[in-house]
Order: sequence, then C-alpha cells, then structure tokens
Amino acid sequence: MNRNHTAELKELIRLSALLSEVYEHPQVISNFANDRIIYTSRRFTLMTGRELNPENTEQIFTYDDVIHPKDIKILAEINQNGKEIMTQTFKEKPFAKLFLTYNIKIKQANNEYKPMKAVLKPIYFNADGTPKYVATTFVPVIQKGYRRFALYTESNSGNELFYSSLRKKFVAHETIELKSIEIEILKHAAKGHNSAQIAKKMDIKTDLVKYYKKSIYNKYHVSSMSEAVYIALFYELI
Amino acid sequence: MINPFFDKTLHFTSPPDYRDHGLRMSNLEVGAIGMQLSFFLVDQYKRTITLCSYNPDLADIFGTTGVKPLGKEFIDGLLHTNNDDKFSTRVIETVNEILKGDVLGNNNRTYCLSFNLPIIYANDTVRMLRFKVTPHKFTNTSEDEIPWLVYYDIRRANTNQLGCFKILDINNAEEHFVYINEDSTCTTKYELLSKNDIEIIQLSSDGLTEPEIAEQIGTNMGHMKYMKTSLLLRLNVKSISHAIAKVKKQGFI
Repeated sequence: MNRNHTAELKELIRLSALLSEVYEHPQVISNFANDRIIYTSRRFTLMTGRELNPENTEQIFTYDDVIHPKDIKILAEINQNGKEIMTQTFKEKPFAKLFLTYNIKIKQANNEYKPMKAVLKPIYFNADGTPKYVATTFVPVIQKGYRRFALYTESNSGNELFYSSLRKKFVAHETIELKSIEIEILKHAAKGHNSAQIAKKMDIKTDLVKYYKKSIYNKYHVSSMSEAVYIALFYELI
Repeated sequence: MINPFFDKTLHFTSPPDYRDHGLRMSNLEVGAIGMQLSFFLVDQYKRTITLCSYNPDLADIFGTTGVKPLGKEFIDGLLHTNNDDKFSTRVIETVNEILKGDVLGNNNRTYCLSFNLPIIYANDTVRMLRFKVTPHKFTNTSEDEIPWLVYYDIRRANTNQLGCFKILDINNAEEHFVYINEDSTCTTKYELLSKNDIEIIQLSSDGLTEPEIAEQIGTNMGHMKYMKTSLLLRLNVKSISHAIAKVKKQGFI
C-alpha cells in the first residue's frame, strides 16, 4: 500500500491537537519503537512548560525529563512488557482495542510533581501489525496500589490486567490483590508497630512479616510502609 | 424531518478513501473507552452517524456502551427542544457552514467548536449537553477539501445556559464567539465576535460609560466607538441594549 508517511504524521498531529482540546487533557505523540516524543499538545506545554513538534527540534526532551525519577525504572520494565503484548495482540487481531494506563507523577512547569493517569493508546500500525505511534493522554484521575499500571485488552473481555513487579508481567486482579495476612500486617503498621511488634502481635516470625512487607511493596509498587498504609487507607482496606 | 447533521450542499467528486476507516474508528473508540467519553462521527459521504458511547454520565440517554448508529430518538430529542425558533437546527447548520469554509483564514483546520444544546428524552426529561466539534477528516482531492468526517464529543454541560457557541483556534490559542443570525434575510448564517466585542457588550450591560469601557479594554474612545458601531452593524441591531438582549439569548454574557 502506497502511503505518504509525512502526510500521515501531519494529519496525526492535527488530530492530536484537536482531540487534546476536545478531551480537555494534555496529549503527547511518541514513536512506538524508540519512545521518542514527536509532538506535544498545547495543553501539555501549558502543564509542563515543555514543547515539541516536528518543525521545532531544538527543545528536545524525553519522557525521563518529565517523569518522577522513582517511576522511570518501573516504566521502562512495563513498557517493554506492554510493547510485547501490543505487538502480539495486533498480530492476531489488527484492529484490536487496547490501551495501557500508568499512574505516575509528572513534572509541572513550576517543577512540582503532580500525580496523573497516563492513558496510552497505540495508533497507526506498521504492516507487520506493530504499532507505529503511541498517543498518551494525561488525565487527573489517579489510581493507586496494584491498579497503578493497567492494561485493557478486548481479548480479556474488557477486564483490566495489572502489572506485577514480581512476575514481571500483566496479571489478573485476583493474582495481585492483597492477601488477608498482608492486610492484617498493614492494619498493625497503621497503628505504628514495627516488624518485630507485628510479629509478636500476630504470633509469627519477624522474617515472615518482612517477607509479606516486601510482597506488599511489590504489589503496590511502593518503597515504604507509610506509602503502603496510605494506599490501603485510600481504598478503605484497613 | 430533515437531519441537519448532513450537509446537503456537499458534492463529492470521488468517493473518499475508506481504507483506514476501521483503524480510525478503532483509534477513536479506544480513546473513548480509556477516558470514558461519548462521541459520534458524522460521515458526510455515506450519510451515516456512528455513536461511540462510554460516558457513564450519558448512560440514561444512550443506554448500553459500545458502537452503534446514533438513534433517531436522540436527534428528535435534540431538535424538538427549541421548536419555536429551531435554534438547535440552526446551530448544527452553522457548524456545517463553518466546516466547509475557511473561517479562520490561511486554511487553518485546527479548531474546535463548542456549544450547549438541550435534549428531551425518556418521559420529557430535559438535559443540557455540551458538544465539542472538530473537523476530523477532510477529503484530499486535487479540486477541493471537503469535510468528510465530523467528530462530535458529547458530555453533560456544566451549566444550563443554552448556546455559548464558541470556536477555539488551537494554533493561535484564540477564542471567538459564534453569533447565529436570527434574521433569515441576512446573507451570512453567523458572525464571529471577538473577546473585545463581547467585553464591550458585557461592560455596557454592567452600566459602564463609553470612556470607562475604552479604558477597560485598553483602547482610545475613537477606536472603541468604531468597534461598537461595527459590532451593532454585524449583529443587525439598532442599539447596544438590543445587542445585549440578543447576545444574552445566545449565552455569551
């Protein structure tokens, strides 16, 4: 099929500018293969102070410049997994409905980080079924815990899959939800008890408490108990 | 009843390129699912309207989520609400008029129209809806560019104010107000009003004198008077009071 890619990209940028205004949310177009940002909508520039369009290549920046350093590592890991799933899905079904959502912190124009939900949808595909570009829309809705990194695929009957740091892949929510013992540990932590105290209260070994704490960190994509307790309170689990 | 979403004056010299249409719909639908939006796409060539509904706020109007043809009852409910002066019909006709023209000059196709229209549905329930319209796809023939696909985003309006018809020029981040001519003898269906135009009317309605208005909008008396006269002519009114009444009716002040 004879396609003029420059015209295609120009049209994609026009639509991104339009839809960013319609959705009332910032939008970015990036290259699927190398994650290079190609275009930022007016609303994204207002939010971050960063601007990029194909005619203006002087202000080059990458996602790493606007994403919180703590989120960068896990995003790289998830992106790789997400890309594999997308590629496989589109090979099986070219028009499959699929999108990823990442709840991350974005650096604002005033240098403060703001939690946002990034909705990534692949657009315009190569002949081999792989996505060519990705449109990322940033919305203020924020989801925490295991819901932070989600994948929606048509083949999963509209049910979302969630990223598991342990298994390094997207899994069903049953697999990644907290166990009752983990919730119990969180309840004790919320009362200010340390691992040894929790172990004593629950009549289990301290090492086992530490093991479950790590499991909670992995499931919730956090690095401290205070973050985990906050998320558990947010979802009224404790 | 004539469906005003279809512009009967458009003439396609050749069929548009539908090769990527499935992909296009899929892209838009994924966005709608991801952000829980509802929109419909008007195909001016095939004369079809495809609804993609995922906004839970509108479930009572559109029913189940998914992609389906836009129901006749929606169009009827939209157009029957202002049967006295057919305002809804005239707004949609004006949208078509703007889309096929070069409203912002320099062949600028990057703009977004927005307006509020009420709908009557299920047992005479009335709801104000906010529409955002963009020219989604133009045909790309050697003769002309025709607005082939038109995207209408629909959501619950934040206010009950009818109209508020605006056009946002995205390239220049400028907003204009689209005043619909009520007089059918007027040569044009609509007039574009600037922020200054609306400010003159707004300040007049607040009781400010001409020198005070000139100061507020940062110009001299002579220029302000020129702007005011030009405005009255374009609105086809005799006085600023008349202009206030007309502009208020269309939700600009």
